[in-house]
Order: sequence, then structure tokens, then C-alpha cells
Amino acid sequence: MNRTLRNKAIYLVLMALLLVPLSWLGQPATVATEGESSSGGSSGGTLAQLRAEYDLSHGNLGEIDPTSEALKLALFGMRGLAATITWEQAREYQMKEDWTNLDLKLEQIARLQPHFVMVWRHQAWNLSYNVSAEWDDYRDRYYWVIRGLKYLMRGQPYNRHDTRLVWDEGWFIGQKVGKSDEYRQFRILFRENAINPIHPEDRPARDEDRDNWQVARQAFLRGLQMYERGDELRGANPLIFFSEPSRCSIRFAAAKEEEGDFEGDRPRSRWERAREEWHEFTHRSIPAAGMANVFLTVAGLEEYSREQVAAEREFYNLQPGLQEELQAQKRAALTDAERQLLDTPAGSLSDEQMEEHSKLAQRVQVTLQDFINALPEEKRAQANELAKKVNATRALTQAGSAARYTVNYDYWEKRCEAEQSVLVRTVDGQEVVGVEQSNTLLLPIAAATDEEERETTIRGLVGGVAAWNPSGEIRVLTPDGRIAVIQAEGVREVIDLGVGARRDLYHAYQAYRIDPFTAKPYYETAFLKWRKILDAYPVLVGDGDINDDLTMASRRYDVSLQRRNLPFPKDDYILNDVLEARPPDPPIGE
Amino acid sequence: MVIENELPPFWEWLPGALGTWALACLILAVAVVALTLLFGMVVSGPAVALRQTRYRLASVVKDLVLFSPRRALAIAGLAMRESIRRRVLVVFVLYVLILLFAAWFLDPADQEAARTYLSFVLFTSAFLVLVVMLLLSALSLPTDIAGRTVYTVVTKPVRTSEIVLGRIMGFTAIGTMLLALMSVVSYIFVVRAFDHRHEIDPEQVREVRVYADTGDRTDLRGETSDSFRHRHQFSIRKGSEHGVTDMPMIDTPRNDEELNPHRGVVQGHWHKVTRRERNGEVTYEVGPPEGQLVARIPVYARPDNPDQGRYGLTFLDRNGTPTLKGINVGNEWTYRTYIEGQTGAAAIWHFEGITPERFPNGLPLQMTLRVFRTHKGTITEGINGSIRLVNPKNPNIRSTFIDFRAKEYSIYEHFIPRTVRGVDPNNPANTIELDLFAGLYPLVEDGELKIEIRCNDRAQYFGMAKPDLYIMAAEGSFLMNFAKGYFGIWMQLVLIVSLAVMFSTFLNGAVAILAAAAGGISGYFTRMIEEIAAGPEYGGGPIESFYRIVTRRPMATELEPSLTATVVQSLDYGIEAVLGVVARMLPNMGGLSDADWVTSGFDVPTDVLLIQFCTVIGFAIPLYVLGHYILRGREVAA
Repeated sequence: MNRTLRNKAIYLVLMALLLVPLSWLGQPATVATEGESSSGGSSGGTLAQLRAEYDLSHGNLGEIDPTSEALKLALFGMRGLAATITWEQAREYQMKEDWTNLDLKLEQIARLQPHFVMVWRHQAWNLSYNVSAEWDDYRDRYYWVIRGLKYLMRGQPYNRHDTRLVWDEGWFIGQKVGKSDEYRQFRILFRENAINPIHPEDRPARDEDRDNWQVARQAFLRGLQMYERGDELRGANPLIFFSEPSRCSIRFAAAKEEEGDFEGDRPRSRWERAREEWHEFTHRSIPAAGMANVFLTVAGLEEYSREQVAAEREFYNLQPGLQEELQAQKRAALTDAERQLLDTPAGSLSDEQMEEHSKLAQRVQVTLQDFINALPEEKRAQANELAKKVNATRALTQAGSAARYTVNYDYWEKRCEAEQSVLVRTVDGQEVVGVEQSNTLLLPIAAATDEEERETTIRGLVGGVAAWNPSGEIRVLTPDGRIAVIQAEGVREVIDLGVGARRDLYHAYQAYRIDPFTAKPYYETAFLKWRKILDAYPVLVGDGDINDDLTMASRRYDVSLQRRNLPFPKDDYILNDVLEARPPDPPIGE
Repeated sequence: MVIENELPPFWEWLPGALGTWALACLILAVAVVALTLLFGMVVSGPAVALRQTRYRLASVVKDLVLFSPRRALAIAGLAMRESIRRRVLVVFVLYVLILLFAAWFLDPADQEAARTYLSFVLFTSAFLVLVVMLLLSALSLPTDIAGRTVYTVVTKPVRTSEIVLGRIMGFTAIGTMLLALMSVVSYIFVVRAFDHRHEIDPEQVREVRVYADTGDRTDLRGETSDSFRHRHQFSIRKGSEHGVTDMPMIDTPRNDEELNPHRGVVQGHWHKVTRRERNGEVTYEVGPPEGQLVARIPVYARPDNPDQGRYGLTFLDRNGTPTLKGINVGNEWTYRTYIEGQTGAAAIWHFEGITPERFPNGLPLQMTLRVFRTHKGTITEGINGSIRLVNPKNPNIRSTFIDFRAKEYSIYEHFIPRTVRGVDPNNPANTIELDLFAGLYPLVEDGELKIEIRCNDRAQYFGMAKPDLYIMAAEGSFLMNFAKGYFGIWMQLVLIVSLAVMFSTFLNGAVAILAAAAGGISGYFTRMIEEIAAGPEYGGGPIESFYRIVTRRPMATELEPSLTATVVQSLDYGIEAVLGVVARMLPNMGGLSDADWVTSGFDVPTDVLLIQFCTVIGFAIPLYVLGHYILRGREVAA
């Protein structure tokens, strides 16, 4: 008995001693209570500090839902099993079009896995894209789109630091409401907010504030703010992530014009703002894809190219002529047939020959290492350093080029300009396409030298002629490629080109809807303006919305001609390049 | 409402079911006796085992024959007192609390709020009652045996059959009491949740000229106030006092506004509107919501009888050739098949029992079709279709096409009046008035009628299954139907209690709970078990699937012939055979639930209730006898 008692006493003492390190390890973090100074509260024990450091606790992820936590406890560790069964049941209900029970199941899934972001993302997308498509009435489809959006938004408080949910919110509101087949109806319903209301009570009821593109833009901006606060992008492409707010502005401006909102200066203001935001995005420092700790700007490609050229020049200038010598040696090592193939223009080669050609081109290429190896010993250390610099500049240039391709930089840059463009007619009959921005005219001027380009401004020109700078002379590049010199006071008129072309197209469509017979002159007026735009911005011919819009307009123009028993002018149609860039199916005019 | 497995009429079902049941009971009895014998042989040797088994069988039969209802009821009373002593009524308090908090999360303004509310109350009631009664039933006898209190019972002249049955009856009675209380509270909760009113500002009401085939008229139309986050459009014929909100057109429409079905019900309900004029002052009164809590009594197309070549729903393919099924447009779920628009395709329902006594004024047709668009068409308009009535015995007697516009996931109502325009059988170029039941050319003959549905829009499709179109015979009492829903839960309760008591006769409390829970939960997955037992179309059974996953083989290709493949597939055959037996032995718990009928707004047919009740009795009786047999063989007074 004594021995038993003694053992129990020893155990008790050991347990008490163990409590000391346990409390040191497991003490929870506390926050300052009301009335305490901000220095009140503690960071807790080691485990609590580790949780805070690595964002591991549920409290760090976001709100904690008592119902969800209670449910998880009640399942005695079988949460995973319950979640699996619930997902399968949800799938079954969806297959059987039992939307009520599907909705309930999704609620259960959300309660079981509130901090699993993919639950919210996947099921919200499922509701907005899959379930909505099952309904025939567009109002029902809209209801389910918003249902999915609300589901997504409910997951945000539980995952405060996840940018993907916020990005998805912007995507749903932008793309699903504004670009789906039913976008005309969805945009109206979104503004009206009558079905499955989504707007918070403090959102103004003005049309512009409830436009889906504006609301989407706000969501994307929230995502940017989260990133700037330190939240990660979690797999999102930084270029796409950062470009979305400006794209929303662009889409907003385009959508309002499509709906016929040309009142006052609003169209121009919208495009001006869109262009500014696009400009802001392209000049923003963004992490380069695939390159750690490297940042680039989309607009900086020219600079990166210049740096690359300078670095290469510096590198090859270590031994002038050596690169050509090495290349000649490599060419000499080829057979006659190989040299002949290498010298053949790529356009006249078959596919097999192209493959062989590229292999040969690689063989004769003088790599940086080849150059270094051929240098004298004393120059190699410096060459190695310069080679690193060349590689870095090449990688940056490549990344910059890829970035431009990813965001379709050229198109959007020129699109924003074109939609705001004006046509300047001089007193001597010349025409120049420029951009009007904030009551200032921006005209492209010819390069003063081959290496420099500059833009200049003529202030106070809009709506009239005014004197300008002391030199009073501007050299401009006219649409047909000539360099002309104009005086500021030589401007005869400034015509609204971008907005005007859109307005004319809209009026043409309205006339077409009433009676296609009457639409012909309206379309012809519109096409004249579009011709000037496309001549000034050829990149817009074959890509994107403009080609779609003009192709559709051409089709309607054809119908209008048919009503007048007139043939479609296939050979000398003013927008033939548009039709040839993306041949419509069925062909127009046949 | 979706009815995937059509149940035959009760009296047609009963003989076959009785035969199957008798056979199953016989097999079960033989299996149990054989197992007892085998076990006894192992323990005590063949002679002793044989003697013991014979004695046991004789005493079991004797107990069953000399069973005393009075003593069983006494045991039942004890079981009830025991349950109350264990505070089982707390479950009711818990349920009330749940309902109170549920009001925060359930939204009566949701699109299908009625279904959500009804699903919630039925599911919660069932969950609480079944779980609690399972625990009570499974723990009762083992607790008595472990605590030796069972001695006080077995030493009295109480037979084991009375002990088992008494417990089943007692726990069933307690569960019934709980369910009754819950059903009352649930009914009040649901009805109150949807009660709301709207108001109408007389100054906003406007006159609208309506052009309809039945005659032009003037309607008074307007919009109600906002309540529960919705409004209604309403119309009253000028000169009339009564109108309705949001009802689809009863008259044959002629202009687009009339044809547009998107003026359907809002949030699943509508209201009656009454116009009153007194002393020059006009007021409008909006009645309570209707159409949400309903119990439709439909007349479906005749039951299928493949042996006789009779079907309730048949099709014509795009060339007009008769076929049994429509097209599959790519859905995984093949419950509905589709007909193509602007072709010879049609869906034809064949009805029986259509009599003038039942439908003196006409046929209230209701349907829920699916729409499948291969192109968007006009986004703001629905897909057009047409209805035609045909005399099944004389197809030359048929109506003209009645146009409609389909709306998915809501019930489209079309009242077919007693007389309709029809094709003159003697001169198809002419149209004449046809009566449904009377005249030279009645559309209904011997109570039979065919109704054809066609889609009129090119490259668009209508989808349907047999229950998707029916004739509304009457509207039943929602209260009665609600009670039937709880009756379905009660039947599940009887089954669970019987199962739990049976397991408790030979297992300890915790294991009996698990066993009963496993049996009950498995009962909700009988369909899945049957599908596995039938063998999947590709990918193999459980072992083969596992083998394919581990070896990363695709599901769609056959396994290469090898020893491994043979072993794996043989194991699967064995498992599937066992699962097939298990699936047949398990009660189909889901099939006992009538929640789907109630939540969908359909009256639970009496045939369905009778079949369910007989199924429950068919399980309960063998479970009772088995429990008695097992308990009889136990030495509880060791």
C-alpha cells in the first residue's frame, strides 16, 4: 500500500512538473481587451507563435463559424467522410436537377469545409456556370448566376487572405454578367437589382455605379489591395491579375457605347479613363513569370531591348571581330549542301527542311560560352561577368515580350487610343489621326531623328484653332506615310473619330432594326470613319471585338443592299481587309 | 415530380410481393436454423445440438402461439415509462429550439422556399426521432441484461416473444408520440412562415385591352406592393370582382403578351385579388398565398405493362415512326428523353379513367417539360410547343393544335375546356367543335384519351418522362398530405426500432447501436448497392477498380487476360453475389420516405402508402420472430 501511495505521489509530482513546459509551449495568444492599452494581450506560447508566423490557425485564415466548428466536433473526426458523402450527394442532386436539395447540400459542404477555398470556388462556379445553363428562362439563369456569386462572396470572410475568391468575384460579375450570350439582359438585371438582389444597401443606385463592369472593377481593385497588403496571388498569373481593373474600364466604355449612351462627353471620358488605367497597368512593376525577385513593366519592353543591345555590344566589344570569325569557322565546318540549305530563305522550305534548317542555324550560332572560350585568358573573367549581364537582359526582354503577348498589349493600347481618336484636318487638306485627352490633342509626329520619337501637344485646339508653341511648327506623320509640317494655326477642324464611328454604327443598327432598307447610308457614313481608324491603327483590323463588330455590320449592310436589290461590292468594299483577316462564315455577299 | 421507379397498383403488387416474402422468410428460417444447428454441433456435438435446436424451435412456436397481448402491452408500457424516465421528451424541446433558430437561416422568399421548409422539417424530425429511438431501442435490453433487471421480467410468466414484441411496441409508441408532437409544431411553423399579404394602390391600376381567341376583353392590371422581397403582377377582368396574380393564361392566347409564359408564378405562389367598389371608392384586397403548400392529386398516364404491349408514354421519332423512347441529348441521367422540334417527333401520353363525372367541365392539364436548345434562338422568349388530343380508338378524331410556350422547372397549367376545336373526321380540311365526352366524335372513348406534345421550334428539344404530364383530378388537403409525410417517417421508425430490438437480443448495447445504425443507413444506399451488385458497365467491380487505380489502368479498356485479372474478377463476382443478397435483405429506407411527394406538392397515393406499410410489416415480422428466437436461446439468467 505504501508503495502504491508513493508511486501515485511520484506520478502526481511528475505531472505537475510537466505542466510547466506544456504551458510554455501551448499557451494561447490573447488580444487586448476593451479598456486595456494596445500593448495589452500576449503572443502566447511557442505553438501559438508558430501558428501566427505561418498563418496556420483558423483565426488567421478568417472568421470562425461556430456552427461549422460545432458540426466538425460532432462528427468525431469523420469530417472527411461526411464531406465526401456530401459532395457525392450534391453531384447526384445536380444530375437529377433537384436544385433545392443541391442548394442545401452546398450549404452543408460549406459548413464542413469553410477554409477550403476550392469548395467555394468550385461550387460557386458550378452554380453560376453549370446550374444556370440548365434553365431556359434567362431570368432564372440570372438568378442562379447571382446565387453562385453570393455563395462565392460568403466564403470570403472565412478566407480573408485568399485573393482568388476576390478575383473570382470580379470575374463572375464581369465576364459572366457582361460577356455571356445573355449579356444584354444580364446587364439590365444586374443594374435593376430586382431579381436576387446583390448590391449592398450603401451602393448608389445610379446606373454607372451599378454597372457590372464597374462593380467588377471594384472587386479586382480589392484584390490588388490585398496583394499590396502582402497576400499572395496563389497561382494567379500576375499579368492577368493586375490587368483586370483596366480591362473592366475598357469593357465598360465599350458596353455603354453599344447600348447607345453617347450623351455629351461621357463616351470620351470613359475611354480616357480606360486608357489612363491601362497606362497605369502597363507601367506597373509586376513580378516576372518564372524569374525570382525580378520585376518588369509591360511598357518597358523597348527599354529592356535597348539594355540588351547595349549589354551585347559591350560583351562582343571585348574582342571586336571575334564573333564573326567564330561564325565563319562554324559555317566552314558545314558541308556545301548544309550551307546551301542554311542560306535558303525560310519561306521556300518544306516542313522537313525547316527542321533541318533550324538545327543548322543552331549549329552555326556562336553562343556566349563559345565567345568566352575563344577569348584570351586575361579577358575571360570580365567576359563571364558581362555574359551574366547579357543573359539577364535577354531573359528580361523575353519576359517583357511574353508579357506583352499575354496581355495583348498592342491591341489594347491601340484600341484605347482608337476609341478616343480624332481626325485633324489642316487648311492645306492634310489629315492626321490623333488622340484627344483632357482637352489636349496628342498627335503622332515624325521622328526628328531615326532613333527618337516624341509626342507633342497642341493646347486648346479642340473645337477651334489656336496658336501654340513659339516655333509654331509641328512635323506630323500623315496616314499615307508622308511627313508633313503643319502650323498650329493651320488646323481647320477636329472631327470626333473614335466615338463618332461608334455612334454612327449604333445609329445604323437602330435604322436597320426598324427597316434594313433605310440603313444603307448610315452604314456607309460609319464605314468611312472606321476606314480612317483602321488605317491609323492597322493592328485592330484582324483581332478582337472591332473585327466582330465590323463583320456583323458588314453583314447587315449586305442585307440592306439586298433590300435595295444592290449587290455587295465584294471587290472594292471599303472594309475588305477586315473580312479577309477573319473570313466570316457564311461569307458575306454570296 | 420525379418518379423513377413506378409502383404498380397495390392489388397488382400484393400477390407477387406475398410470394416473394414467404419465400424469403422460408429461406431466412432455414438459414437461421441451419446456423444454430451448425454452431451447436461445434460446441456440443451433433446429438445435443439436434436436441437443443428441436427444443428451441418447439418453444419458439409455442411462445408465438400462446402469445398474450395483455402481457405484451404491459411490457410496452414498461418500455414507455423507461423512455420517459430517460427524458426522451427532451428531443421534442430540442426540435422546437432547432425550429426557432432555423427561422434565421431559412428564407421564405427563396425561389423554392416551400420545398426547402418542408424538406427541412421532415428531415430534421426524421433524423432526431430515428436516432433517439434507435439508441433507446438498442440499449434497452442489453442494459437490462447487464444490470440483471431482466431477471425480474423473465421470472414472471412473460414469454420472450412478449418481451421482444412489447419492447418494439413500446418504443414505437413513444416514437409515435414524439412524431405527433413534432408534426403539429412543424405544420404551424411551415404555414406561418409563408403567410404574407400584399397591398395594391388603386391609382396604379390601368386598363389593358386583351385580344384572345375566346373574345376580346378589357383587363384591369397592376402590380402589388413589395412583401417578402417580391411583387406580383395581377389582372382582373373589367366588370368582375375577382382576379388572380401571375396565373398563366386560361384563354387561348393570340398575342405575344398573352402567350408569354414568363408571367408565371412568383416564388412558387400566387394570390387571389378582390376588387371592391363602395361609394365610388375602389379598393383591392390581396388574399393569402396559394399554390405553395398544396397536395395535387394527379391522374397519370396508364401504368406500363410490357407483357401486353401497353405503355403510358410513347414517342414518335423525327420521321413519325412509333418508338418507346425519345432522344438522349447527352444527359447522364436518362430519366427524361427528348423530342426534336419541327419534325415528326412527338410524345404521346395515354390516359385511362377519364370520365365526365370526374371532369365535367374539362381537363386541367399540368406539365413540367424540360427544354434543350441547340442554339440560343430568341433569348427573351421560351420555346413553342403544341398540344393535341386524340381519340385512342379512332385517331381521325383529334383536336387542332393548342399552342403553348414551355417554362422549365415550374408547373405549366393548361385547362382544356369541355369543347375544343377539332379536325372534322369526314373532311380534314375543316374544323368543327368536338366535345370531350359526348357527341358524334368524342375525344375520350371508354375513358381513354391520348395527349400529344410536339415542339415547334426548329433544332430545339422538349424533354419529358411519364409523370411530367398529368391531369389534375383534384387538389387534396395539404394537412392530410403533411400527415402522410410523417406517416412515412413513422414507418421508418417501426423498421428501425424492430431492427434495433432484434440486434439488442444478442449484442451488447454499443454494438447493437452500431449494427442497427449500419443496417438503417445501408437501407438508404440499397440502390447503390444494387448497382454495384449488378456489375458496372465498365471499370469492373470493387476489387478490379482498386486494381486499376493502383496500376493506373484506364477504366474503359478491358484487362489483359492474366492470372491476376482472373483472380481479381473472380473476387468481384463473389462480392457482387454477396452484395446482391445483402441488397435484397436490406430494407429500402429511402423508399419508405414520402418526403418527396410532400415537398413536391403531390398527394401521396394510397397505393404507395399501402405498399410501404406492407413492406414495413414484411420486415418487422421476421425481425420480431428472429429476435424472439435469438433471445429464447440465450441464457439471460446465467
